[in-house]
Order: sequence, then structure tokens, then C-alpha cells
Amino acid sequence: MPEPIKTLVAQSTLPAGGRVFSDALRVSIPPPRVTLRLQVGARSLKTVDAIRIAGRPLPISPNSWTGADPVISRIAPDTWLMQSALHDAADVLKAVRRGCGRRTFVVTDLSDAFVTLVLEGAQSPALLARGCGLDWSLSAFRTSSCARTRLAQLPVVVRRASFERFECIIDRSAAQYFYDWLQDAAAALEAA
Amino acid sequence: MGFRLDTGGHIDRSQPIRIRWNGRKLSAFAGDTIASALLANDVRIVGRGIKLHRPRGIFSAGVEEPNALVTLGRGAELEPSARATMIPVREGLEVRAQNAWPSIKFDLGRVLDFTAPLWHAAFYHKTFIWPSWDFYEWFIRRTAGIAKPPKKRDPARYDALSAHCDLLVGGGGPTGLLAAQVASRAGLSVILAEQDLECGGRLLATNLLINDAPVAVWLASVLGELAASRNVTLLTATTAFGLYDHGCAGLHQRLDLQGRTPSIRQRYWRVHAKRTLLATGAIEQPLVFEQNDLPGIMLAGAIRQYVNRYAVAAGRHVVFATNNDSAYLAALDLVAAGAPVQLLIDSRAEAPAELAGWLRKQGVEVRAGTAIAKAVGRRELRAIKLGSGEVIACDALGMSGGWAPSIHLYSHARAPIAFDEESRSFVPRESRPSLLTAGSVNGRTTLAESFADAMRAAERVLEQAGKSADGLVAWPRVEEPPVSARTGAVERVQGGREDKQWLDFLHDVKVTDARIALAEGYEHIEHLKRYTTCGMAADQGKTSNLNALLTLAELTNRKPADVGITTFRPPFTPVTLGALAGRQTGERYAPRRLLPAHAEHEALGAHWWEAGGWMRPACYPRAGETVHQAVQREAAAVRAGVGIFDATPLGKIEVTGTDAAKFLDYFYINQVTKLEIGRVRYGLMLDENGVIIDDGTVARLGRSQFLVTTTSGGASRIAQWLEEWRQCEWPDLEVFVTPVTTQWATIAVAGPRVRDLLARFETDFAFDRKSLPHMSFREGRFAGVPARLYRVSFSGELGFEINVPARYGAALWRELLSAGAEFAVTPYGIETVLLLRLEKGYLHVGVDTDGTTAPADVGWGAIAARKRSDFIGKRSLTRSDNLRPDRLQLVGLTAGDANVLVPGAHLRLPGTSEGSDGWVTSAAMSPALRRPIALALVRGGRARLGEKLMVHDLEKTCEATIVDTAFFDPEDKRAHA
Repeated sequence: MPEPIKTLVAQSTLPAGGRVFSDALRVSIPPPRVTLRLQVGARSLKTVDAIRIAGRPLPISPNSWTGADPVISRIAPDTWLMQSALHDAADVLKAVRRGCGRRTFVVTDLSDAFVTLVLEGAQSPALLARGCGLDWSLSAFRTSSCARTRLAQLPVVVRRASFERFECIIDRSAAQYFYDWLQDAAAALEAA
Repeated sequence: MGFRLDTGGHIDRSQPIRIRWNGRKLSAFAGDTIASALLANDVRIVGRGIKLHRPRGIFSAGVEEPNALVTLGRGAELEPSARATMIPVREGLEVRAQNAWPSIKFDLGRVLDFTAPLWHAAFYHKTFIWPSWDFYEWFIRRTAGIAKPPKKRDPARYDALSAHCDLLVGGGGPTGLLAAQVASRAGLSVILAEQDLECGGRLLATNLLINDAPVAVWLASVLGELAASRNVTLLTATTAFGLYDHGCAGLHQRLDLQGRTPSIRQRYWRVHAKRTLLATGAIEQPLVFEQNDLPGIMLAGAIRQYVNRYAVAAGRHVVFATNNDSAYLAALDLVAAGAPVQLLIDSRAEAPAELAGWLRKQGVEVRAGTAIAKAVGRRELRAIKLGSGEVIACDALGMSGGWAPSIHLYSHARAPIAFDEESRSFVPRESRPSLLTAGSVNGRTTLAESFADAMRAAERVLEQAGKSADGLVAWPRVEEPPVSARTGAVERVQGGREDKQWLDFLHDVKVTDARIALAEGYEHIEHLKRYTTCGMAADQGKTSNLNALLTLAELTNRKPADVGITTFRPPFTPVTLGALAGRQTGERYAPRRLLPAHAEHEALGAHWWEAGGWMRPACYPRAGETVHQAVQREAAAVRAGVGIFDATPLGKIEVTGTDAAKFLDYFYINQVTKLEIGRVRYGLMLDENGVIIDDGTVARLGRSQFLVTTTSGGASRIAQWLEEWRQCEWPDLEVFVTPVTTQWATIAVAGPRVRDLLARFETDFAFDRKSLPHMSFREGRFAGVPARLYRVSFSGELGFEINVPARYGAALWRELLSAGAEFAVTPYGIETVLLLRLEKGYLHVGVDTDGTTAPADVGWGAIAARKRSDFIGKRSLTRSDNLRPDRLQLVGLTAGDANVLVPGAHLRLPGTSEGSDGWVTSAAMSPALRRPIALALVRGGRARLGEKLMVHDLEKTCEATIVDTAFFDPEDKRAHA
């Protein structure tokens, strides 16, 4: 009998510790996180502000996020992305289902579909500007902001976790390309 | 005879520099441009006209230069058609003339000038007809163009980025600088782009006083403040080349011109500005007279720039001809620098008294009411001939036909312009809240007027931002000569040769060409432009558009305002493709997506294909095997034993909700609502025109939950397609669309021994025919992890697709290979899948279909007709064109020659030599049948089974027979085993 493959999980091809480019720029790759996508039906959107996930309301301002774990980001008018580093998918799923109650919704486990890369340092906004047209200044993209956008030609969700920390949630299949792109853009920054 | 003055200029005489001009060493100083260095070394001929190869000299000192286009460097770093007026010298810089053979001084192409009447505007439309265009094409391609591009790959790196600001200032002249200073002091974020290497604009070429001090003091103060300001981005050698919707502007930054060797050569800025202030200045215009293109004839303002900025005098016997006041200032500065000026002629009836008086005091003769008729000389200027017939010897002529505001960027925004009678040029008609203009672009001629304009614009910007400009900046006091905007009408001296009067120097367009255009009925300025190509050259008509319209007005007895001006379009100056591409080249041209088991495929020696953005194994060649041999081996192995294939890129979309079945019914031409839970149905998806856009399966997971699969390349597109219809057309349906493609790794296992392999794994799935019939779906566990199992076949063999969470994809692949070792399990790639598919005659959407293929063309007409409920594209299927019997229809082909039966080969009836009856869409040598097979789109093909056609591939032909599409196991017994 072949060995159960659960014990043979593939290792990421990305460098474990990420990379430090300078005092003002580093990229890190945190361990895989539970990632769920919550979509709420049109009729239930009217009462979405009453939903509580693990005791916290869903963020209802466009392009905003709340929470510590899970972190909940509003990425479309009827869609939220939830990420947890501390809980199992089953626990978060249970919390979502309990929170949404009898509303019309669907929650999908996409933990295997996404990888998170973290940019830190004062040059992070300049790096992001190499691949995306959004305004990354603090006045326009606050520490409570997130955006589903296009970065380095890829669909990506960017969340400003703090003043100089940006989390990029990207499709797993494009992680290597995105990491290579970051390295190249960082080189352009160094040249500037 | 140009020469360097002993004193003056902004050059650094302590830093001598040597450059090479056509192999000859020339001396220059830091701060020189190539053009100023050439002038200082008395190089008169720097280029040749594009069509007639007449000698051309330096004409301007800026971005408008039409003549001094030169080639820089060699090999991979060669840069053709660089404007010598914009490129600073650097040690060892190699500069070569272009568009001349054997040399710039003696160009055999000049023979075209001596036969010029043959080469008038649009001659090529009427000349190369007999015997055919092909007869002349080789020669024309050899002679066309003005430079040769580099043949080697550009090794330089480029950068591109987006930036946001409150105010974008286009132009770093006095107007732009003052406005930027006010805005920055008010706290606005400002980006200022100046195309020159230095900010200052016209101040760099003047000797005025600002606040009782030389202009350099004011300039240094403002620039220092702006450079130190955290909210200002000051960009030099950066051209704002395009202005687009929503305040978006494109900037082209030439880092390679900024004095050091940068690792990034150029940068493309996409600036999103809340407001844009255009302080883009004005461009001096030439006068139109006979032989106005001779070397030695320059713009008067350029002569002033060269003397004040580079300490270079354009000649030893200089004459000026003008219709406005500005040339007087150039003449005054030249005299002040110690260079002799003989004469200034002014076509206006009255010369400006004060300016003329100053000149006369310096010994310069000033004549009003006089126009220049002709420049005399064969290779360069020797003299000028006045309208009175008088000939005056000279070696340089500074001409000024007025100033055309640089409204290009303003026009990009489709903002309105108006003709100003006083300055005889087009100026912006109004400022918009987010697009303002100030300074010379508004027709202002004095510095004081421009400063006032800048302050007004800045106040308006601040007011819109809720701020005040009060007391932010003290108004600069200026002492300057009394210059007015009054510009005389351009009155050409009649009687001269119009075929020697140039309107467009870069495209060799003359007054006679305008006359020919008129004779052909092209009276509109846009028609004139296209017929003569006036203004269509790389300089975008900066010194030709205005004269073309004024000449057209003169020739048609219309007012210039009635003639109008052509539409300006980006880019304002040429932008390299490298800059536009930025870092998006080579491996970063487009994202490459990797499979979860990428490393495992690599270890197996995969031959990679890029398909739908994914890096996929095409096949796994063994040592000594070609790709073709590997594909044949893998296909045979799947038919005989068992193979595994990484199908992860297969599009997967979950469609959930109480209305999910109804929703999906709109997308497929077959019924979805009646699909049973646990069953799978294959279907085609159409667009509104009834054209097939994708195919795939629908699996019913539950009463209101479906899993849709799409083609790999269509995964993202179809998810968007479903979402668009959900949001825009059926928002009331309770349905959710969730793409889950990369959540799951998918391994297809196929072949007659597949059950033997799967039986070795711990699983709660049953794989027997009764428990899991063909086209079924189950959820459960496989090898200890959650799994989704399809029983489907895209190879025609008994097959299953195992989906596990992507993190387990690589492990599952390894375990299947390991467990299947005793069955000689064979990994197979996407090219092998396509061969197996072809043997079965399965459709490959996008390959076996084109942008017109409807269901009936691939044998699905009856299924579509049976469906009673509505679906996207249904109505279009009954359009007359979709019912034509001679539509291209998918059929099979067999032939004896595999070398001719290739994709793209055309099909004709035997005995015919023209037209096409269709083409081959897929073809291969079938290992199962041991003969070449193909699918083809053939006119009325489904009714022509058994008919013979000739296959044509380039020079080769062979006979083929139209057959049914299913070549192998037509009863589908193997897939149902």
C-alpha cells in the first residue's frame, strides 16, 4: 500500500526565509494560511452588517479589512476573504456558518489556491508602484485598506497590514513568477 | 562658419570632452550637446533629407529638430535617429550621420534631388503600378527610411512605474517652476517633468535679471528648494509625451542622458495626477522661402540658445529674417557675445522702434517691410536674396516665423483650441478644472506675463484643493525688453520656385506638394496632412504644421482659423519600445504558472510547453528520443497499459445556489437541470453569436451545487464570463460563482489497467463500472486525503481524474508513479493528450474551431435544436448564415503523406489551383492506426464524407479523403469499460 500522501506534502519552491534586499525592503513568505472566501447573496447583503465572525463584524467599507485572526478583507461588494494562521479551516468554516446563520451565502476553502508574500520596509510602496497603478501612499491606501487588483500582471489581493507592511495574496501557481518579479523590481529600485 | 566663443555659456571649460563624428575627432566641453559641439567645430552638413537627400544642417536647439537626426553607438547599443540637439556629449561618444551613402558630404542619393519633379507628394500611389508593386518593392525597401535599427538584442534594462500626485507640471521653464514652487509650499504633491537636461527653459538662453540678480540666481534658488522638498519629484531629461483620460500622463525619462552610466537606461512613468498644469512653452516656426532648407539656416531662437547657453556662434556673417520681435533679442545677444550680425530684415511694415533702435546702435542694419525670397548656395548657405532682388552674402541665417504654442499635450486631452490673430498661432481656448495651461503655451511672450500666468494657475489649483496661495511666494520682479506678441502674416515672396520651398523638413514636403494635394481635391487640413505626409514624421510636425495650414489658407483664400489644425496625438516625442515595455520582457513578458508537481515533472525530463499561461510537460522524452518519438511511445503506452497526466490547469469553477441549475442551463447547449447528482455531462458553451467559446463538463455535486470544468486556457475567461452574466443580466438569481482551479491538483489516470493501479491505494471510492459508470463524480478520500473523483475520459480510454488539495499534488504524482511501477505506468504530457484526443476525434476548442464555428459545424446541431429552454447564443443559431450548407464543418481526413497533412495546410478540390475548401486544424501520425490522420474544417464537409481533396502545404501536395471524425474506437467501448 502506498504511503498516505498527507505525510508527503510538497515543499514550496520559494526560499523559506524570503529575502532581505536592503534596510528599506525585504520579502518574507509566511507559512501557509487557512484562506476562505465568503460570498453573500444579494438579498442577505442588506443585513451583512449584523454578521459576526468569531465575534467580529465583517468590514463593510469597500476595500477594507479588520481582525487579527482571522483577518477579514472585503475584496468585492459581496465577497470577503478570510485568512487565519492560528486556526484550522474547519474551525473557521464553522465560525463563518454560525455567523451567517440563515442568510444566503457560500463559503469556500481556498487555502491551497493562495500563497501570501509579505513586503516590508519603507521602499515597499515604491516596489508595488512598479507593477500596479494604485496609489500606495498612506493617505490613499491606509493601514485598514486592502484591494483586489492587478500587480505584476497577476490578480492579487494586497492588504496594508501596517505602515510599511503589505501582504500580497496571490495564486499559488504564480508564486514563483511573482517572487522573481519582486526581485527584479527590487533591483530597479536599487538602481534608482 | 560656426565657432566657439572665448567666454560665456553654461558649459564647463575645465572638462574638455572628445567625441567622434563619422570617425573624426571633435572637441567639446561638458555641458555641450552633440549639436552645439558640431556647430562649434563648424560641421555644417549633419543630415540628408529623407526623400531627396538634400544636405541639411542643424536647425534648432531643442526637441523640434527635424534635420540633425544621428546614429549613436554601435552594435547592440546602437541608437538610431537620436536628436543631436537633445543628447549631451560624453567622452568617446560615437556619432554618425545617417541616410547617406557613401558619405554625408557626398551622397549619391542626391540624384533624387536633381530629378525631384518625379518624386512629388504621393508619387508612389501612381508610379509603381506596372508591372506590379512587387517589381519595385526590393529597391524601395532598400531606400526607404532614414536609419537602420540595431540588429542585436538591446542589453539595456528599462523600468516602468506608476506615480500619483496632486499636480503634474509639464515643463520646467520659469512658468512651470514658479507654479510648482507655489504648489509645493502649499503642501501639494508635485511631479515636474522637464524634457531638457536642465530646468529653466528660455531662461537658459537669456541674460535677464530677476529680482535684480541674474536669472541663474533665481533658478538655483527655486530648483534647490524643489529638489529638497519631500513632496516634489523633479524629473529632468523627462518628456511628458502623452496626456490621457482621467489625468493620466505618460512620461519618458532618459536616465542614460544624465551624466552617469545607469543600470536602468530609461524609465516610463504612468502618472495619475489630480490636476495637470501645462507650461510646455512655444516652438519657433521657420519662414517659407526658396531653398529654406540649406545648411546654415536656423531658427533665430536656436542661434540665441547656442550663443548664450553653449557659447557657440552660428556663423561669422549672420543675418536675421523675422516677422516678430523675438529675433531682435537673438540678434542683440549675438552682438553682445562678440559675434557680428550684418542685417535684420522684418517682413512687417514697421519694425519695433525700441528693439530696432538698440540693434542699430550696435551697428546692425534693420530693414522693415522686406522679405527674404531665396537662400543662395548649393551645399550650404552662401547668401540670401531679398524680394527686391538684392543679394547679401552671409554664412548663417536666423529666421523666425513666429512662435507656435506647444499645445500638443493639451490637444491630447481633446481640449478646445482657438486661432489667435495677434500671434498668428493656435492657443488653448480655455482651462479646465483638472487641466490648466500657463506661460508661452498661452501665447505669452514676456517673462512677466508668464509669471503672472503661473501665479494665476497655481492659485486656481490651490483653490480647488481648498488651500490659499496668499503670501506663499513673492512675485518675481523681472527686467526685460519690450517684446510684443505681434506677428506678421507669412507672406511668401511670389514668383519663386515653390518646389524648393520647404514646409516639412523631415518628410521633404514643399509648397508644390500642397498645391498637388489641392489639385487632387484634398482641401481639408487633415487630408493635406495624409496626402503629403506633412507633420507625420518623427518630429510630429513641430515646425511644419503651422506653416502647412498657413500655406493652405493662403492657397485657398481662407482664414487660418477656418482651415484649422490637425489633431495632435501621442507621443509628443518618440518613445523607445524598451521604455514602454519596462521590465515586461523575456521571462517577465507574461506570468508563468507552475504546476504543484513542477519539480517532479522536471526530474522526469519533461519537455516543456507554455499553454494557457501554464508551464506544462508536452511529453517526457527518454534518452535519445525525439519529441515525436516520445509522444508516439506515450500514446501507445496509454492505449496498452496505464498512463498518468497532470491535468491541474483544467479550469474548475464551483457554481452554487438554489438557482445554480437554471443559471448553468443558460450557458450550455444541452440540459443541465435534469443532470442527476453524482453524474457528469459534457457540453459546449456559446457566445451571443452562437459561436463555440469553450467546452467542458458539468458535474452535479448536490441539488444546488455544481462543478464546472473548462479548457485550461479558458479557466479565467469563463469564470469572468459567468460572473458578468450573473451580475449584469441575472442579478436576481441566487447563485454564486467560485473559481477553484488552483485549489485542486488534478491527475488524470487512463488506460486499460487503470483499475489495477488505483486498487493499490487506500480509498473509499469504488472504481468498478457499476459503482462508478462513465461520466460520474464522487467526493471522498484517496490515499488519506480529501479527494474529488471524476470518471471521464479525454483520451478515449478508461479514465479517472483524481483531484486532491493542491498541496498534495506533487506527492500524489510521486505515489502514482511509484505504485504503478509494476504496471509500467507511463507519465504522458499535453501533446500526447492532444494525439489521443485526435484519434478519438474529440473537439479541441480554439484549434478545431475558429471565431465562426457553431454547434452544427461540429456535429452538435441536433442536440442544440432539441433543447427547448433558452441559452446564450440560441437565437443566433437560426440566423441564415448559420444555416448555410457550405459552412466550414469539422470532418476527419486520412492521407498517405504525413509531411503534407499538417495543421494549417489548405484543402482544394482536385484539379483546381485557386481558392480554399478549408484547412487542416489538427494532424498527427496515429500510433494506434499507424497512418496519418487529421481533423479539418471543410466547406459543407459533413455532407462530403468519402470525397477526395488535395492537401496543399507550401509547395507540397497530397490527396486526402474526407472521413468521420472518430478514427479510433468509434463505438467508445474502451472509455465505457
